Amino acid sequence: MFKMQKFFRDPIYGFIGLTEKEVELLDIPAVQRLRRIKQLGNTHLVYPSAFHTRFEHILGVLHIATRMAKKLNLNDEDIEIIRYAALLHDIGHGPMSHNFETILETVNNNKITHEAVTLKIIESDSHIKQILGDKTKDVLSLLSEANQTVNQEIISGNIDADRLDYLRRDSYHTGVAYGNFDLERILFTINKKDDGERSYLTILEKGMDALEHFRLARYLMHTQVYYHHVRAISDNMLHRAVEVAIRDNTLDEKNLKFDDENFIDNYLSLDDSRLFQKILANPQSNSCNLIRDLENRNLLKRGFEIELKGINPLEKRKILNMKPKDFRKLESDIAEKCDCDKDFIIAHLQKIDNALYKSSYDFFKAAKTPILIETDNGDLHELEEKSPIYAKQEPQHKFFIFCPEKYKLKINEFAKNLIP
Amino acid sequence: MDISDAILTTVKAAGGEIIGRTAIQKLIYFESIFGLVEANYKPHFYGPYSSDVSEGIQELTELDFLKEEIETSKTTGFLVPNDWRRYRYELDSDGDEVVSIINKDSKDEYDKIFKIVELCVKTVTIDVRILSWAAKVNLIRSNQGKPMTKDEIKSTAESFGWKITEPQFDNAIQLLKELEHCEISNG
Repeated sequence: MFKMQKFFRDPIYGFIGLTEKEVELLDIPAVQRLRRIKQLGNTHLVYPSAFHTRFEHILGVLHIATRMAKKLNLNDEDIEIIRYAALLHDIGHGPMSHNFETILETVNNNKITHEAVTLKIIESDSHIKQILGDKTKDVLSLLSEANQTVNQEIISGNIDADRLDYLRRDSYHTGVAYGNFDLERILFTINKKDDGERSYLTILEKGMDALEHFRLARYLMHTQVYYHHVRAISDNMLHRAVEVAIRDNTLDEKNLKFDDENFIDNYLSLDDSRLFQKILANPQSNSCNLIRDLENRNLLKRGFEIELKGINPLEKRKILNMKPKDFRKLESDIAEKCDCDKDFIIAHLQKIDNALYKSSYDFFKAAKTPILIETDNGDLHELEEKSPIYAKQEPQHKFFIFCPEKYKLKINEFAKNLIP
Repeated sequence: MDISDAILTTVKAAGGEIIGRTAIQKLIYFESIFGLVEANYKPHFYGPYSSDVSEGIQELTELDFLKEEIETSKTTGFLVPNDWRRYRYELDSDGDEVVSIINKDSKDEYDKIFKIVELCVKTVTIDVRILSWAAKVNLIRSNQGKPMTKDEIKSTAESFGWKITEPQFDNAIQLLKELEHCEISNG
């Protein structure tokens, strides 16, 4: 039984209760910082009310994870660990949320996920470890990707508390109604099935329609919100602004090196606003102009756009083999040809994927368990065996060149010659 | 050579198809030690592993350069991560067209990759186990940067969680010796 010390009002669930230790965790600066990181980064430039933050999301995940754990009859100790993990699962997000993962990847020449940063923050924060006490190891294990238990599936799985919260929360705050689904039915029909060797998180067959609705909601939120082309443009402008700021010595690249001894301190000193302010402090740099343009929604436009599937194999190969330096070279060539500043030309290859419409085979390839349906007699089946809905599963690869509006026509002509 | 070009050339050199993603990983690894491709290999359960190569295979499949088929054996009635699986990769028509261009554009590297793959076919019939043992032994030796005894190599292997038996070690050394003598200079 959990004794709640504080209750937080939440627009999605009403009230969310936290225990004394959880309130202590919530008060740590690394967690409070999430109040200053927008959940959806630049999405407010498409949907003006999308200003919700990672902070309310972690509270929502704690709430849903607890309901899932209780439905699965987990013991109090497991629930306690799951609630800590839910509260801490996003503390590794950088300014503008997922945008900063791309920036870290560029700087470190290696994928650095927010999950990896989360683990590093917990491991290095003595205050967090003091509050978690002997549960620290279990929380870290639950947040580690290698873990494949039902408890971990609640935090990070096909139907996890993270997705169950963010879809409805993002839907509420963007006003895009497609993201809403029948949460209660899903929570009512999740189950835990043991086959002797390990346990699986399943959905009872009677919950399949709710599950299909959830999958469709996720798909539509991807098309309408997460992969909206204006968001792709504004995200790329932000990445370019940081890249130019590093080049022009406005930002110190060393501070963003994952292996640097001061990485965590520097990282935690940044949030959405502080990152923007640092870049705006150097008005001589184009990075400042890019951030000003973002603030004023004076966005670059799509000068050129093509889907890779449709082009001839040799051009497709050319684009596929392009490395960051090749993108920069292409941008310079275009800029020179069009008499435009190269900092405002952005070539971008986008892969549009929707994990929930992946086949069981795709989950298998990624060493993950597929979505499992449990029939009345207790048998387990892959969802696609039972689902009447078929969806195209191959991801789309799109190549874009973004540019200022006045160069659109010129760039389109030039790019057409480049990629017939 | 770019990683995706190296993957396509490797599949072509193996006769147009390769069974096993691990086999592709290890063949590209041997190509990387001759400086033919840069793929950022790191120690992994099955030996040196490159996420760049893994992503390359995925992209080539999604973009119709490679055809991918999978055979599986389910232990539970549905696929779980530990189930047995075997991947088969074959050049698709787009892949075939691109390989002929790679041959023209990068003839020297193309020929060297062919030599390495053909040697692995001839010596060990692309037996993925032997490729893995040889790749593990090579990674350990190259990390050390100085000659090592058999026992030193085996004990370092254990520190990576790899157990290499005596016959496996001999098979690995035999393949590495063949590779060292296949007249492919570094660079």
